Amino acid sequence: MAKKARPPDLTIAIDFGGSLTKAVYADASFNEQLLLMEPEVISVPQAAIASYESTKLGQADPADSAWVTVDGQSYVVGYLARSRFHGNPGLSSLKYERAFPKTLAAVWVASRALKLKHRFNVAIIILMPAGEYESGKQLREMLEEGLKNFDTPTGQLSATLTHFDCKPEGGGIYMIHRHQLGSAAHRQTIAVVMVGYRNASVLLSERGQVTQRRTSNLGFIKMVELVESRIAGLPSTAQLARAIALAGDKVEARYLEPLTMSSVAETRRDEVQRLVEVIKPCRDEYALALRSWLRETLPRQINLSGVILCGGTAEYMHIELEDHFAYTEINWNADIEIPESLRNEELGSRLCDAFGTYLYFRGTIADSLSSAVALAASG
Amino acid sequence: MDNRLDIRFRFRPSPKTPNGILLNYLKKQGSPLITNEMLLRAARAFWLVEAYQDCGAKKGQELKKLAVNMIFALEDHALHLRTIFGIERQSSVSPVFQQIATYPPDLRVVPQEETDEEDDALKSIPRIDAGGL
Repeated sequence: MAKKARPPDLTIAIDFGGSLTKAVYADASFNEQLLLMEPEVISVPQAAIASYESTKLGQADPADSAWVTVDGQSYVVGYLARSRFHGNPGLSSLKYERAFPKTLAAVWVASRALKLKHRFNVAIIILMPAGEYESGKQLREMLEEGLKNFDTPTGQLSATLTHFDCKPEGGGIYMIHRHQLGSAAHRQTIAVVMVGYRNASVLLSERGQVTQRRTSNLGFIKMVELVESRIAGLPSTAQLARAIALAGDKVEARYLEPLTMSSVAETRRDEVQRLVEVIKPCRDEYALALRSWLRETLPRQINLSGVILCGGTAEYMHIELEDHFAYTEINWNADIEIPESLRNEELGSRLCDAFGTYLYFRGTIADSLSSAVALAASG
Repeated sequence: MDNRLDIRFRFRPSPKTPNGILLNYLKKQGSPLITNEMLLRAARAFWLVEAYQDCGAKKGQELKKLAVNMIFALEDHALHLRTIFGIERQSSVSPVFQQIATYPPDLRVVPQEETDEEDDALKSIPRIDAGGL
């Protein structure tokens, strides 16, 4: 009897956001779970890891204590990289270079949660900015080799990459929206506008097929940099970004208070006031740049049937974006419903792209396994 | 109404005592902001976890996470001192620490079992067209 085709032990869809790595992973029965990791990664000498391992106290979550060594090169990833090794989120370097160790680390963390053996099969799908999406092939080759043998805090792992795919950011949302439209997708021109922490991307689909992919560096970080350039002595970019995002379109002062340094109440109030005065024009300036890029990328002549808006920064800029696209039908996040088991209050709808990508990938895996079973039966 | 705490720290040590030398060094940092931050950073690393435990604002895993964070801060400063004064790390680690640093049994490998109902489940998974992606 032919050996039954079995889903991979681990299926994982990863969205390497500039402010957070978001992943949906599942066991061989496709029971989904959520994985969040800080975006930081840093390459360190192996001795630094040995020293950390020999002196660490207690037991942190795998997601907070991840490192990998592959081909003699060690990387610390996530919270551990941020807190202990001063890693930076690497907003200026290409995502795919950093995607390699981050993927290995995410695979290790997920394998711990699923209690996998040291040998297992894995299927990986990754979201990349439209501009770097072509690097998927290189990443696949690196991962195929790297996964075969890499060191982790719980020993050496050997994973076989059974399925791999790479889609541009916004792709998960686009595919789900297209699926929901059914045959109507073939008559429509749809744009998916994704504004995240690092990039703003546009996917244009005409008659059910993607015909254009554009990306720019106009992510939220641009606005944060504008604020940083006008006020000296602010805390880390990550803290500033978080406070600005929480303060919202009304720039609510109470969220900016943690950024101030003074212990004198009056000085703190002045510092907050100054921040409010700086953030407001920076937001306008950022909105202007974003709208100008969107006008150029999606000129009115395109005659959109609708636009799908997604990404954490798009939500932050919702007033400006809804105003910009007032001439067409607006949909947010393709109305994707995140299952209860994956919901996270702080994350909100920022998981939609990764979850949509996971749903697509799960379908292609099931399809490939069903075909394998059919072939075995007919052979 | 402003309901923030107003803490004033007043201490008058003799300038030649360790406390006097310490506080004099902290005071002459050029900005009260830096002085405050140096004092608070050290105090946080030592006592913040217990302060949270005492007031009950964090519990369980949250409290443990904070403790891990503060341990990182303490270890970082230890590393800073080692680097500045060229002090090597002691090679032997307390066996007690080694014992708690290993992964607990629930994170260890367990055998995976194959199930027979997966074929039907596979068929029910919806296929989604990539639409040119």
